[in-house]
This record gives sequence, C-alpha cells and structure tokens, in this order.
Amino acid sequence: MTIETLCERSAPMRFPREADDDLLAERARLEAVACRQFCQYDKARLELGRTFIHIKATFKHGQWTRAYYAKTFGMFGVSFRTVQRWMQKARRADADAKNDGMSFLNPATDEGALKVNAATAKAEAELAGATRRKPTRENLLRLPAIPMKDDERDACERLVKGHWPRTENEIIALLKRLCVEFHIANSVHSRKES
Amino acid sequence: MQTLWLRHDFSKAAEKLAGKFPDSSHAEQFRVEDTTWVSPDGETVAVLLCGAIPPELHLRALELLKDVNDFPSNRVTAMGTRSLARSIGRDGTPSPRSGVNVRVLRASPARQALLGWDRPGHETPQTVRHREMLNGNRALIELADRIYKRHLPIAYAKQRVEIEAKAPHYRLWKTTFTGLYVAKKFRTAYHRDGNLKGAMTAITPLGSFVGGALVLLRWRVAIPYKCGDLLLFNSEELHGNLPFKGERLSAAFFCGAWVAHCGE
Repeated sequence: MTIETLCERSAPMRFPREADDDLLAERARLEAVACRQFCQYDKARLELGRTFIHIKATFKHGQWTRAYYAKTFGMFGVSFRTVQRWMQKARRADADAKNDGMSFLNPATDEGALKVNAATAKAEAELAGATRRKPTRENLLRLPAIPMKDDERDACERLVKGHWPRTENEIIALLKRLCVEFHIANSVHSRKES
Repeated sequence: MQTLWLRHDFSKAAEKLAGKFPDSSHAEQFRVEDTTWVSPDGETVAVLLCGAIPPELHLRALELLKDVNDFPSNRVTAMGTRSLARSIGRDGTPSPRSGVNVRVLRASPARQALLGWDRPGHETPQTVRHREMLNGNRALIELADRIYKRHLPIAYAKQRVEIEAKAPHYRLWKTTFTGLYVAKKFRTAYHRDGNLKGAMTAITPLGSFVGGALVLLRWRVAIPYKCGDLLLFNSEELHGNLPFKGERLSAAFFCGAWVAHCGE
C-alpha cells in the first residue's frame, strides 16, 4: 500500500490500519522527506504541513502524539504545536486552491463571447452536414448548366474517360484560340507579354 | 512602482480555459498603477507602466494603424473558436483550408495586421503594402525598446544577445523586436503567442475605450491598462482580454519564435 492510496481517502485520520512492514517503510521514507524539507524551512512550510498530514495518516487514531514527534523530529527545534499549525495551513491552502479551481471556470457571458460561441456552433453544424468530397476529374470538368443533347453528353463522358492529359491540352488550346477569335485576348501569349 | 508577489499558481486550472473568453470573475487582482508582478519562484511576470507613452506617439500610432483590415483567420484560439474548414463551397463541399470559419469572422468585429519580419528575409505583405504603418511608428517602437531595457534589463540582455547573434538584419531598426502586431476591436480569448522563448512582449492599447483589461489567467491578475500605458509581459503565458466598449486597437511589439532557429 502506498501513501498516495492512503491519502486519497477523504479523512485519513479516521481510518486506523495495521502497521505492517510496507507502512513502516513508507513512514520512514516520509520521515526522510520531512528531514530534508526542514532544511529548507522558510520555503517549505506548506510542503511540510502536507507531509505531516501524510505521516499522520499512517498512524492509528491516537498514536500521532507529541512524544512520537519529539522523538523523531525534536532535534529540529520546531514545536509540535507549530507543526500542527502548518498542517492546518496546508489543509486550508489546498481547500482554497480546490475552491478557486472550481469558481473561476465560469464561462464568459458577455455579448461578444456569446456571439462567437453561437457562430462556432452554427459553423460546426453546417460543416457536419457538408459532404467532404475530393475534387475528381468529373467535378473539375463540370461546366455550369450547359443544355446538352444525349449524344453530346455521351461524347463529354467519353472525353473525360479517355486519355486525359492530351484532352486537357487540346481543351486549353481550343479555349485560347476562342479567346483570340472573340477578341478577349490579342494573342495566346498576350497575358504573359503584358 | 509597486512590487506584487504572487502567491498562488493556477496553471493547471488555467490550462482548461485555453480558447475560452475571459470573465471578470477569473481575476482577483486589478491594478491601475505602476506595478511589477513577481512569481513565487522570483521571475518577473509583468511590468505595467502607466502613462509611459507620450500622447504625440500614441495618437500618431492610432492614426496610422486605425485602417488595419485583415481578418484574424489564422488565430483560432485567440478568436475563441475551433479550427474548422474556412467555408463551404457552392457545390456543398468544405474548403480544404482550415482556420477560423467565415461565420465566426463575420460575428466578430476583430481585425488584425502583422508588420515587420515574419521569417528570415521575408517582410509581411502588410508591411510591403503599408510601409508607413511601420516607419511612422519608429519612435514608438524605439521608446518601447528603451523602456524594456530599463525595466527588465536581464530579460532584455538575453533577448538582445539572441537576436544580434541570429537575426541581426531582421529586426525593427536596432531594437530587440522583429514585428509589430496590431489588433483592432479584437477581444481575445485565452491564448498564447508564439514568441521567442523567455522574451517579453511590449503591448500598448490605443484609442478611446472602456474595459479591455488583460487577464493573466495563471496568476488571476487583470491589468486594466489604458491608452498611453505600456505593459511588458511574457505572452507565452495564457492571456486574454475582458470585453470593452469603444474604439480599441492594441499594438504589440514582439520577437518571433523563428529567431531561435534563424541561421540553422
């Protein structure tokens, strides 16, 4: 059993447990942590408070005593009462942090934020309905609403299914010739020259 | 100048709000005087200097920059939306380009412009089209640089060394900034800017407006700066603006993240 699992319980002091070897080993590890943290006294009062909360959780009810503390940590010159105050402070700080985390998750409700949120939801709904199609040769060749007879439509389909690169070049050349013929461009190279 | 020591770090809770709009309940400190915020580990988080920009400079900047008109279509998080196809074509298929959807762009009055260098040897199109926007603000940019040097000398020195070693030709005159970002009527959601690591961004709001405080979510600090104030802060931390009323532009002087890889 690790100390993390012990401390996940909501009120560790209310759960007395057997002092098995694992527990003693864990207690020794935490005592070592506490010794190290004592050396960084000013910076780590909160951390010490948390560590002592964890140490206390390893004892049965009533065994976390002034005598144990004096025997184990007495040489650091910090009274048992002071440590209890640190523990209280750590509990309060953790509770504050937890409450703060909850309270400041409120979403913004001003007009601008609501407008953007609504627009995003609308865009997502619109995109969910849209079909994602890859541009195919057929799509690319689709011309805008030209009325065609059946034989003309068949011819177009054969054109698309035929040797495409050559057909594409011929269509481009034809379009260029038509541009010149109807005075849309002076020559087939006019755009490049200009 | 007051120094404020920040005690609590809310970085874990802050992460959840990236891309969400700030609310006044997110901040517990509002400062309206010259202040330096220092994190629990001794790093300077932000420096606010009230009235640091003389009126002639910020009024001129407002005149020069008020016509910026590009859509912030590449700023998904700052717009408070998600990356979506930009539009839907006439044939019903979504555009292959993703970013801020046109519906969101239409719903927001936000406009932006990026001036200066956006990569080695490349000036932004806006700089080429409207060089006066940058050149006309040279005095303002140099003043921001001097203020940065005076108030954050260590961060400034690091940034200067980096830019002089890697991109000496791609900065705005002799400053430590590579670009000027202009945001017009842009109420940003919590976002991070991709700037050079460890470099500070200098930002000054322009125009006549009420509200628009900058919220540094990690520290739950709101900075209601006004026209003429200059704020130096690390824009890699999540930040966003509270709603505002009126005409508001903000000009941010920054050093791009690409500087770190320049010349590799």
